[in-house]
Amino acid sequence: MTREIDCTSPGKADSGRRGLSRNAVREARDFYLCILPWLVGFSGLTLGPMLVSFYYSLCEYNILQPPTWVGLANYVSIFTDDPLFWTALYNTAYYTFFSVPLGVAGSLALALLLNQAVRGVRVFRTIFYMPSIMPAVASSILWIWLFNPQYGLVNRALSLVGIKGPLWLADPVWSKPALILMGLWGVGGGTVIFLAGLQGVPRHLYEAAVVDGATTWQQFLHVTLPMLSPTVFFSFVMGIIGSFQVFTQSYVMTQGGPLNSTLFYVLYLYRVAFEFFQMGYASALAWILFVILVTFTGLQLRLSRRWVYYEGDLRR
Amino acid sequence: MGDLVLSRVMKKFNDNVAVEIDDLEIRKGEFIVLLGPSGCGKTTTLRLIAGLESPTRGEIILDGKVVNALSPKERNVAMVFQDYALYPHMRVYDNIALNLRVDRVPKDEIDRRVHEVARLLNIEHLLSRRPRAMSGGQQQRVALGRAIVRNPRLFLMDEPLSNLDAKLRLTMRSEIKKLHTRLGTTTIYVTHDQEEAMVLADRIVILADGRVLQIGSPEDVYENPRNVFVARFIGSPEMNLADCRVESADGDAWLLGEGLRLKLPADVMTRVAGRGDLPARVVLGVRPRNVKVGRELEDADGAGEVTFFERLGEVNYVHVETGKTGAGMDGPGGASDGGVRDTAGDGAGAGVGADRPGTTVLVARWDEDREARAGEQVEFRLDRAHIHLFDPASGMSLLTCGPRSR
Ligand SMILES: Nc1ncnc2c1ncn2[C@@H]1O[C@H](COP(=O)(O)OP(=O)(O)O)[C@@H](O)[C@H]1O
Ligand SMILES: [Mg+2]
Repeated sequence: MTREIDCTSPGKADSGRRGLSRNAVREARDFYLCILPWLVGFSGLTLGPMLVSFYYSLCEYNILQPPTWVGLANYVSIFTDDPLFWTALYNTAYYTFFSVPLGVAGSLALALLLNQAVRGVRVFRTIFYMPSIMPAVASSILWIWLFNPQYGLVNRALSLVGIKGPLWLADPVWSKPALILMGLWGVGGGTVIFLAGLQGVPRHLYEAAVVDGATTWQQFLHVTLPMLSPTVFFSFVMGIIGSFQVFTQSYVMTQGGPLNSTLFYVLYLYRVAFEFFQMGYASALAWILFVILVTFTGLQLRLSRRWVYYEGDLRR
Repeated sequence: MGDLVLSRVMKKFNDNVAVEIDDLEIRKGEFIVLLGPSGCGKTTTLRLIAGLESPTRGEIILDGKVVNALSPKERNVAMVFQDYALYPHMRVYDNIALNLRVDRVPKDEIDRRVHEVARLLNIEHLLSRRPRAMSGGQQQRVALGRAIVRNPRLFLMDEPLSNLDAKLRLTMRSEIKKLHTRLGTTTIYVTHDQEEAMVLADRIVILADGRVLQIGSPEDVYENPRNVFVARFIGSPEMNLADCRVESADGDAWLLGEGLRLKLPADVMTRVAGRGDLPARVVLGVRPRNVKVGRELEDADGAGEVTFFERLGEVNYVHVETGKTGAGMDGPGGASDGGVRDTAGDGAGAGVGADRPGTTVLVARWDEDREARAGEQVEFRLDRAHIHLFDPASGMSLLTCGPRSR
């Protein structure tokens, strides 16, 4: 059988192994050969540990002794008997609720500015992107200084306009907002994605809008935003996943304090696992987070059909 | 004064002049076609009129008011873009309605007007579709609808049919014409297709290198091209052009070309511009439909050999290589041969259709039922009433307007 016939009759390939031509067999073999490294990596380093952790989540396991099966006990006590779990969940949700929309809006606004044909715009793009390549630990230490109530740049700047800044990281009310603010420092990463999206918006659409009499704001509303909706959607999904896993800042800067006000979910999980050595309990926490994120992402996907426009999408 | 006037308008893109129009007046209700090859500045001109581009100098005057500083909206123009530029995420309804919404027109009036336009364009059943889910022709209609719905003072269309297939193009062409008749809105239409221009235009503006070469009715630019460029651009197949020498004998003027010898009749001589003298060399132009070809003709102007028979179905054409006569052949072609050969090949570069020195290809309509054979010897005669003479150096026509009637 020749290759041409293969191409024009896909039904042949579907009709079971017997019907596979030599070419198809060879292609299948090559295919699996090519993805083998990834397959090994994925099953060994991702899928395997996940399954193992699910097993542990149903056990009591302190590393020193072999795990003992406890069924759903870990899950039950997480939900009924663990105020820190609820604190961590609340803190994380709070952080996500503010930092993701602010981050997306900030990235988009910055991208709009950096998309202007201004002299030196490349330099600005580089400057704004730089924080995103800085190691999180390094920037955390930097921000400890910036948030220092007496000598920090933030409160100094506020005092110039006559505002007495709060204690920031030392104040349970202000500690989360401080970390959210700090998160905005990294909007440059999202900006790069939005910039790429902006380049893809056809210029003719803006001209059509101008002829239609749309103001700059209306152009943004009716052309830019819809055309960027896939990017906005992507940023939200990735942002939520990322911010639910916020860890480094609170680990380095506040150790979850003051008064557990920055005890984020993953930080709590880390403590349970590596400070209290309750691996079974920690695994259960991890699986709960996993389910939360999968649910959120699924929900977003579903909602996205209402507002995300994809190029070449024929849906009504 | 016209509805729209471009006065000494010039547009530069970094030192390159894209458009330079000294004076163009467009009357209310006219259908004007800007015609020219790609890159000649048609789109730029349209964008200048729309207000999407501002002129480097000069004035754009709408209804007696200079509108240089006004936005497209304030000029109240509507534009149909070459690739339609429909908002891909909006339904057809919203695409058409947007410019009314921007104006805060009441909802029920928007609804009424959108449906009215949709009915006019036969797209009512598409109102809830997205552009992506429609054919090119349907998208084209929506683009027209978006332009019509706000009752603009000017319609601007930039090659609106160029993305459609040939058949649909013909349909939409006549629909656009009907639409114009019905609405009477002044329309400026850009195309590189001379046939489209001939069919649609009240007047054609022929552009080349950003300049206006000629403005006139389709008939006018066809019958009286002001220069070689227009002569070649308008009409299909292209006008035949041949380098000729002018000789006087017994008070008559004769044109001697490759395999071609013809006496200019008195009425052509009276139409020679200026003092009535022809230069020593001219470019003779004649359209294929005005060349009679046959095996033996009375009063033939020359002879040649058929090199190609072009069958189009409706009309057929032959390509005749003049000055190429078979061995042992005598007759008028042979007689003129000696006189012309030495002049061939050095004609000034006015875009003369000489394939190679010594011969010229003449395209002529073939009216006989039988097919012409390649290699066949034929004679030809040019219709005196429809010959054109151009200056070989400047390419400008040497004749004043001919008789209008055909
Ligand atoms: N935005 C621009 N920047 C630089 N040159 C341009 C621009 N727009 C058009 N031009 C130039 O102006 C000339 C006319 O272009 P255009 O009006 O698009 O021609 P047409 O529509 O007749 O094909 C071309 O040489 C083109 O390269
Ligand atoms: Mg163009």
